[in-house]
Amino acid sequence: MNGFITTRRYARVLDLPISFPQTELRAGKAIVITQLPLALHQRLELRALTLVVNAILTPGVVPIYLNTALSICSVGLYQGTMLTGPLAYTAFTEMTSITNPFSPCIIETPGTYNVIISNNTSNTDLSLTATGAIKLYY
Amino acid sequence: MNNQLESALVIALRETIKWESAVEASASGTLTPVVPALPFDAVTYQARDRQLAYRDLIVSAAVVEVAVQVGDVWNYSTLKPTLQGPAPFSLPFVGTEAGTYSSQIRHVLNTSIPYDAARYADADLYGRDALIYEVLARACSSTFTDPSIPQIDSAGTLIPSTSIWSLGEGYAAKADINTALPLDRDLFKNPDRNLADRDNQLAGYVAQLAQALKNPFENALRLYIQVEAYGTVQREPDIYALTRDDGTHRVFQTEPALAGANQIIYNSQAHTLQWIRERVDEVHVPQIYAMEISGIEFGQTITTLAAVPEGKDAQYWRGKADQLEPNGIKVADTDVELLTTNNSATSGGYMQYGSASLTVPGAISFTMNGSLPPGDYRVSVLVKPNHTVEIAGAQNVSNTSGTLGGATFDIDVPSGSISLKTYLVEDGDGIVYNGSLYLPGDVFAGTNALATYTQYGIVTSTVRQYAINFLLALPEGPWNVRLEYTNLSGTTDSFSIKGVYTAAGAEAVPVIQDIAPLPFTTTNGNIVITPGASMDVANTGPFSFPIYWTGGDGQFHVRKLIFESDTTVGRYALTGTFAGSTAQADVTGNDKITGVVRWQYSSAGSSVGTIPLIIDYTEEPALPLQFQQVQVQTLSNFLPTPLSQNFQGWRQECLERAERSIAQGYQMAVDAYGTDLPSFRTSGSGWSPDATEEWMSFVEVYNPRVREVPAIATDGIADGYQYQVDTPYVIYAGTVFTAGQKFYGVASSGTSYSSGTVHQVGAFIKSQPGHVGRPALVPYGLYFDGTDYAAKAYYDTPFSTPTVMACQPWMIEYGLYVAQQEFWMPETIGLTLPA
Amino acid sequence: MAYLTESQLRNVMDIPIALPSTDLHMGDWVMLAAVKISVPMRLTYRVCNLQLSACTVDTALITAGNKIYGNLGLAYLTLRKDYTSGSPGAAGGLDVLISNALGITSRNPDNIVELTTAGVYSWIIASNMQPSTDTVPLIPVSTSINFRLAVNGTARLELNRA
Repeated sequence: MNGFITTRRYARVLDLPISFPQTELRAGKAIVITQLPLALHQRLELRALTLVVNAILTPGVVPIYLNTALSICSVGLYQGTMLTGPLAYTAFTEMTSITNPFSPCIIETPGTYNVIISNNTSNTDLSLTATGAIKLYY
Repeated sequence: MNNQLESALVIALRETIKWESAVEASASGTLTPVVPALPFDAVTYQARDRQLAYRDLIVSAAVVEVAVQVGDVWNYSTLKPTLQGPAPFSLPFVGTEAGTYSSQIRHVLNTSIPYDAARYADADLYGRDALIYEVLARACSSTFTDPSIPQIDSAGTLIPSTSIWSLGEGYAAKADINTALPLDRDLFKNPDRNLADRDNQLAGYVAQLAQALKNPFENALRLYIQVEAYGTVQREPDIYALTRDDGTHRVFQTEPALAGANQIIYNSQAHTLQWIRERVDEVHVPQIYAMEISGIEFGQTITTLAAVPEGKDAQYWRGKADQLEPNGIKVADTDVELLTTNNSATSGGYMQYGSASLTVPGAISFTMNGSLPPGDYRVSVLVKPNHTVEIAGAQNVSNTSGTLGGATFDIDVPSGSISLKTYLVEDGDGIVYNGSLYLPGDVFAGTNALATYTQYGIVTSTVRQYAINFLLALPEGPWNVRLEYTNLSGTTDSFSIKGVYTAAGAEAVPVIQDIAPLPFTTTNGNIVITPGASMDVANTGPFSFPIYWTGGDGQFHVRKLIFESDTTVGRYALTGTFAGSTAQADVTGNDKITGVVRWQYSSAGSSVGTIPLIIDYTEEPALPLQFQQVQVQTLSNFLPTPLSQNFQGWRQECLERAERSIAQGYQMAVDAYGTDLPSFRTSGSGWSPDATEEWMSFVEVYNPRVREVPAIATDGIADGYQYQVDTPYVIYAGTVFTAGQKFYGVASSGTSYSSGTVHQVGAFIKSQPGHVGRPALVPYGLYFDGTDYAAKAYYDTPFSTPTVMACQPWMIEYGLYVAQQEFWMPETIGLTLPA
Repeated sequence: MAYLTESQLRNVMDIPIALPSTDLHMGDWVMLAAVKISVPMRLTYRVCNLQLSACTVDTALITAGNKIYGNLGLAYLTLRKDYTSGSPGAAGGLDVLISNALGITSRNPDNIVELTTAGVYSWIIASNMQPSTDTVPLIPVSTSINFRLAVNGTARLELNRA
């Protein structure tokens, strides 16, 4: 893993985008930003996934949490659909939050993985942006 | 340590110990004997001198060997002579050949006879060689854990240690006993003086080397330091490399190379050692140098190991990872957990095969034991939506139990054994129970108040159990039900079985109609499954589902009821009540895809004892949910290591090094087993929790400190594995180890320990629900098959190399191991909990 | 100039700045991407393309009176630090890519923006259009000048700038 990169090897290392431009996400809604199928011998590494809360579109409302553990909104990488069991995630605590890039989420088991952004309240509409990249070694 | 030929330090050294006319001596250490009664033979005397010269070469080889070991251990090149040819470094010794051990030489005089050269001068020269060698060997033995040269007098009874060295009239003049020369004093003395001179050189080298061994800190380029306290290693041996030497301070640093931290500083003026660890809150008072000095905390010692650094394993990297704390929120495991839920810790819901469940909205409660500090909590539950609901036969409400969790119908029930069950009268003239007559074929309900019945008429009737009842709730809609059953005793060729669905307040609906007997043609005990029967569940209220054994001989046994629907997606709004507050979770799940539900709480106080978690499932009734494991973790803030901003990748680096060491050990095991390699897959590529444990055992072959295993059996100590004491003390091989101390199993000390409990030390721990996303050790090629809803291993053992990757919920179900908390980083960067 | 190792490559990733074809109304703006960096990371921005594919009015009729900021063209993509709210065209932006006509406008990749200070860096696409302030506007003030546009670019994030 510490060897030099040849051009052939470099050609098989790609950055898959996670791009969710500013979008209104209604209360209780979750959107699959991207789905990533992984085959045997391939490897996914998620290091940086940033979540920005651009605006709270229903101001003056005390949020009613649907998932207390995930704050008012979150974005994460999932194997299934259960939002409370992310493989890597970041949730709103200040306007912008990011997963820890120094602790990569590595996946090498074949399967399909989802990046899901969710509004975890039942009464607050939000405007959110999510940006990141996943390295694919294939 | 003194008496290491200090007076030889002044001898000016030459670079080479020359071969000259040395001749290989006997391996036993004896010199060619001189028989004084025989005529003078110069060749004999010549041979002895040459053999003594060879013994000098052996001693110089020993000097070189020790110098090489100094280089291996302390990474610097020390003084060593050049040899002109190969010689062994172990000096053979025969006590009778030696004269004095005081380094003097009784040279021949003009009045001496030739035999005096042999019995006095040669003997003293032999003694000098032995003295030089032994001084070096003793210095080596007292310094290194694995000395490179053996001692010849380890008891110290023969050869003294001394600081005095006699030059013995040494003079570097190549001289030999030559029969052409006059037979005078110088014929014998000059060669002896030459030998004395060679000894002087060797004594000088040994004296210098002994000084270097006394204080390696003066010259070392690398130190190998271990920190201990109260008989247990706190920090495993670390390599400190010399990073700066300004003439006064020699600064050695280890990883992580934080600015001004993780250093050992040797002050060459004051001859002191000081340790600066990663936290600079407490300062180490510089100690006078020694191989073992006091540390910072009470009872702590800092030991410089004179050994070549060895390969590091995952447990070592676990300790190293813990030496640097990042900035952010720390998630820590507690002892409040449920590893399984199919036990009395659960109340509410419906108990399915293997785990508790809520089939429809309702409440379920888990009672855990442990201690919880004050703070924020994260409660994680491993769940699995499952449209297959398996109810064990013994989960009936008719007080009927049986083998392997099933329900065995009572047969030949004697009077006196009637209880609260439904019975059938067979054969005979009938029975009278509780004042009523029941003829053969009649069914009656027993009560606990009356256990007896009487026979009616002449021909005896028998009584057997007729029905067992199940109480269950399922989501509305179409369901399919099957029964697993068998015959346990007697013989039968068929059973007539009836199953009825009765919703509360509604008419009974036959689901399994006993229109014709179901053949039973297999051996007693083998499971048979009824064909699927459809039923429509009217509402989510509890319904009764009695199973009737309406016909057939033998002894009917119900192993399992299996209810199945087509629903594949469910939504779960779950309120969790824990530590006096509630939190919400609202998630969707897919059939047979394991997931984790998580709640987060804040709490002011701590709790000890029984700690309940109550889950209220409020919406939506569609897909039953199994609850498999519960775990409670605490959230707190890390105490960041000062100046560690640029070292945020440190824990990940340690994890990767641990992974590499495990993978290397695994490959060694694969190579070692060769064609006898075990396989862990079942039925082709199937995987199971047992397969995980067996695979981990294989990983442990060359990585004994990979897996943490709790509560080792009292005869379960294995050679090479490390254990830590959990109770106040344990006794192993006669030694008492107190709480927190670690020890290694040793084959010669046996497998048993007593008086307490220990756990096996390892860098990875069994995964639990709160570990989703954390680094897990996974066999390469393992995956979750979305068609069969089971884990499978694509590769067999040779290619199932341990690989570290994010833990997914299905991995927790299959018992894979995750890296211990010391490797964990905060999930989100730059965030801390509010004070 | 050192060789690149596999472990160094792991620390480098390309962050997308992407907007699929979107209708942007007059005066509106949308955040496309955001990255939060901390020490010792480095974010390098070189390449971006802004494509204005359609407009609800004839762009020849757009005058200076229709522009909120006279020098920011029809629409602009700006890079800002720690942006929370407010007009993205306000002073203090780190970089701007301005589109003055329909078609593709590309950023000069040799104009490298290197960011190492900790903070949140966001890319915001904004419409520079407003109802005309001219006395005799060519485009009626009731008409909304909307664009259909797409953005495609990337920024390189290095976790370890050393």
